[in-house]
Amino acid sequence: MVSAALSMILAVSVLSGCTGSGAQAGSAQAQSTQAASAQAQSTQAASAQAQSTQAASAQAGTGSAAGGEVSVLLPEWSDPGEEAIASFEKQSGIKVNLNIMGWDQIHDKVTIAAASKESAADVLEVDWSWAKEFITAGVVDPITLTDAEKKTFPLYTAFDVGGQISAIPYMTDYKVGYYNTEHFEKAGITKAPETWDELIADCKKIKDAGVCKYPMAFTLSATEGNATQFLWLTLARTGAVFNADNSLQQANLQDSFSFISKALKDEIIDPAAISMQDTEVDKLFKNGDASFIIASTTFMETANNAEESKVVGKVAPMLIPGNKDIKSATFGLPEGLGISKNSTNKANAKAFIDWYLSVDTQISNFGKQGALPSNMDAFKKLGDEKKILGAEVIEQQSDYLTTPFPNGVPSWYSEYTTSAAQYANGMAQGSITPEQAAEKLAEDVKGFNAE
Amino acid sequence: MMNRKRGNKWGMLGYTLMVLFFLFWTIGPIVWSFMISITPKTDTMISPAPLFPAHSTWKNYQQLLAGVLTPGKVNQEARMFKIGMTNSLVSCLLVIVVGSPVCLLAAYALSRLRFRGKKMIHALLLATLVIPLFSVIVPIYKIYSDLGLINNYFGLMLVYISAFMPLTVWLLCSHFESLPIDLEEAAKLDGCRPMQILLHILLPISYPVLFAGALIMFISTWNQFLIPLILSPTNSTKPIAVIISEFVTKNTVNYGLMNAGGLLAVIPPVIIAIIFRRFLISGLTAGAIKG
Amino acid sequence: MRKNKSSYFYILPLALIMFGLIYIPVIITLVYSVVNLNLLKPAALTFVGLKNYIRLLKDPDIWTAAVNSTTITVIVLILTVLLGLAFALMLFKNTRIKGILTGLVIIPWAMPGIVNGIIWRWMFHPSFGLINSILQKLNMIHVPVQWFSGRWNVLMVVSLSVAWKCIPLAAVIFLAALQSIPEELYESAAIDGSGAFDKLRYITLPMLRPSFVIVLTTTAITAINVVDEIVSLVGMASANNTLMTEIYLRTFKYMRFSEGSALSWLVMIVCTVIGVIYIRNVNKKAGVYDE
Repeated sequence: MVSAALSMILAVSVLSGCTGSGAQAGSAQAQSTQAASAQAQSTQAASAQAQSTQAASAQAGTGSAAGGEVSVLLPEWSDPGEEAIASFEKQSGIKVNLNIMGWDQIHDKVTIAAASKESAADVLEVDWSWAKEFITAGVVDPITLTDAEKKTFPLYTAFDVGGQISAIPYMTDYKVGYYNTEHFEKAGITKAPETWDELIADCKKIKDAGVCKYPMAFTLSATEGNATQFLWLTLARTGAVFNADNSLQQANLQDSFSFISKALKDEIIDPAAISMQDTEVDKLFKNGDASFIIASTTFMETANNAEESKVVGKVAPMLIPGNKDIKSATFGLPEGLGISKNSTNKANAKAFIDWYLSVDTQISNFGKQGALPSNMDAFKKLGDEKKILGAEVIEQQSDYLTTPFPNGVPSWYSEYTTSAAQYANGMAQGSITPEQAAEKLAEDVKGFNAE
Repeated sequence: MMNRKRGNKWGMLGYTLMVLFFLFWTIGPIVWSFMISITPKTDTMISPAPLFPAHSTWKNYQQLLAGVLTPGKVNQEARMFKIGMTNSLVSCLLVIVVGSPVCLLAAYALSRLRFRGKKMIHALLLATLVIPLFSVIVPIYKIYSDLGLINNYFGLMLVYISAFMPLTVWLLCSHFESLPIDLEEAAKLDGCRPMQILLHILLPISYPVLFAGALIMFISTWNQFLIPLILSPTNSTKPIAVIISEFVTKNTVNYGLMNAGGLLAVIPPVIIAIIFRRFLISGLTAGAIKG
Repeated sequence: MRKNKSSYFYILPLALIMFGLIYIPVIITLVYSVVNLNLLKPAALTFVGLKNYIRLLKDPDIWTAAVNSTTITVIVLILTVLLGLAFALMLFKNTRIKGILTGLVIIPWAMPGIVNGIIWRWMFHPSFGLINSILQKLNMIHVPVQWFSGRWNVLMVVSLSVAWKCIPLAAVIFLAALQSIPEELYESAAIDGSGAFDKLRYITLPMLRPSFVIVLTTTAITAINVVDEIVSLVGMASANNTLMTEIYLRTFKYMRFSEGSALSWLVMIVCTVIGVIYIRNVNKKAGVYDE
């Protein structure tokens, strides 16, 4: 457990060295024009800023806020549950208005509210991919974390965009590899592959042994899940996705595209993956129709849930394969809580967030939803009690946490995803070649940066 | 009506074929939806799909109807489902009760009365049909936010009425305009005022169209998604369509539950349609004009 | 001419709602479309004239989306008018089951859009869809048909799904119109010796002409505006996008409000032009009260 914490800290210090510099000037400028256009909100923004730093410097606990309300907007899987909320209300004297909304819809709602300079809720769900967007669009206030807090929540770096932290992570999520132990056994494979070449060889063995027709689970439909796959694939195969100036590493992407294209031709990936969303591909594996998948840290729990999976007890985690230069690589996709910029209850918002991120609440949420805590103390505790399945390998994978974005996730990430998914899908259908796909994507990225 | 004497056999054959096709086309997908809703999570997404799931489970329905089936032991889904159904019903009833008079009065004015600006209003009303919802949702949100009408049944009702009144008014106008004007002229000469003409002469022979209009408003309101998503974010006004969309977790979509929810959610509109069907009867016109 | 002040009373509620909740927001949207409102590039709002419009017209994705929207609309219109009328005639027949049939007919319409999308997706899914499963069992195909790959395949499936949803409304409108045709017309025609087919041709269809206009227009509008089903069915990818999904993408995902508003206005203008040309040719009025 200690090693996990240390390795996370190591990853954090590497990451924090990378962020900043060029992007900082840009974001400062954005912030000043934003303040200018905020009209009547500007004075309020200034005083709210003072208020939030004040709340941030208050030590752990809910001492400063007493009475009043707070509205919270969360997706269904982050619901702490009625009892927990009731105990918070009792302890703090703050009434909680909890709104649960579909994840996509949260983004829509928040966007509309921001356009009218309203606040959708005091405490907002912030996904890592929205981190930059939300700051630029004036949805959330930047948060200041103390050094101690940074140590406790090392994944805050995913929300660090150009020096501004848009949210505090409330759960840990990054990609890990998983394989079907039964398939591997039947095909006579004794250890998990460590490089991509080994992986392909293993898949071919499984296929030839008649154990599984399409061993590799990978989505190729034109959806967001598809685009994120190429991010970790490139990180693990060639290293960099984006350069320091946010242009695309075209050669690396082309390598990833070619790799998948070949796997598809060799029928290691199901041709029907062209139409499959990532949840459907996950299900393929859980039905026992695939041997290998790369999925989130929570996958282990659901794959061993008899209500959902047919491969209970036959799943083992493994490090994402690398190649001769890279042992492994993964990146974090955490979700966090942010404080709405136009909120009038910022102190209460901070109090709620503090409570939500406390060790007890984190552990209770893990019990309910299977979400790995972002709070290192909670994580340690669960590990000590042996409550996390496959903990060893999952921790080990965290040693290789890196990020595709040297400057933090860019504000045009959403458009990038649409383009990337579309070209990957087109390549899978055979209408463009991997070279063309990489070329077009690089061009689009140039366009995004130029705007 | 079909000619009774000669074509009866062909008529019945044609009718039966039509009904069969109708059932296949309309109910086929519904049956499939039902199959999905009784498939346990482990058995979903099997290739090739079985026509009937190997193991069936009523769990999804139990989850949604927990409040009814096992009173006292209510889980989250059941609670949300009940809230959604109640909110939807309230919204729909409000819309019919307030919307029908508004549309009726307006349709009467636009087809039978004179006033300045009539042509313009009529044209503007029809023009609203082309306005896509997305474009106006942002300004409406801002306006409502300022007026404090978010999360408010009254505010929601107004938006729904604004969405459905063009069609309803159009239906009513077109109906009024197809009625010969003699009867009303006669009443006018007798000294009746417009309101009396509307209530005593036009209304009784307009039931089919009026109930069709009310049915349209009810069902259109029932399956609304985007408007309530934005304008009613909390449980006090969230309708069923939005609730169903929330049966997803981070990495899985609970298809069985969503289908079960969808099927249960169409039951009230179906009942309303069957009830309203009684009122969509002709024959009321017979005698009114001649006599 | 008597100045009919009381006429305003009839039209007032509608006018208030229309102006307040539709036209004011629409004007605001127009304002958005000629400024540079992009939440991800916050800057002082400046007037940029037609820049957004020109940029959209130059974007090939928009033209692809336009073709997609048009294709879907045309297919949906044909299916809806034909099947809507057929079902309405079926429902019109006075049999004992007509109540239940009416209830069943509206199910596709009452179903929340998201569930619709899921049902059709699971029917046509290449791996675990019902259609491929049946085709394989009947030995008609050996390799699963990839219904969702390729632009035209996708458009076909989407059109089916949207038509399925639109037909009930068409059927209800036609049914109401059918019910309103005075029975005497049929009776006098029967006395004159007309058969069933003649009655259909010379009485029913002409009397239904106004409803045709209504059905065509509302169906077209619905087909253009549909988003929930499409996203549920196939997600969002440039080749398959319709104009509405593009508006949704640009406004909500990319936060480029000005572009989204400009695109909405483009769609509105095109629809209005088509609508005006069409409606001009089919209007008939009975008349107003003469004074």
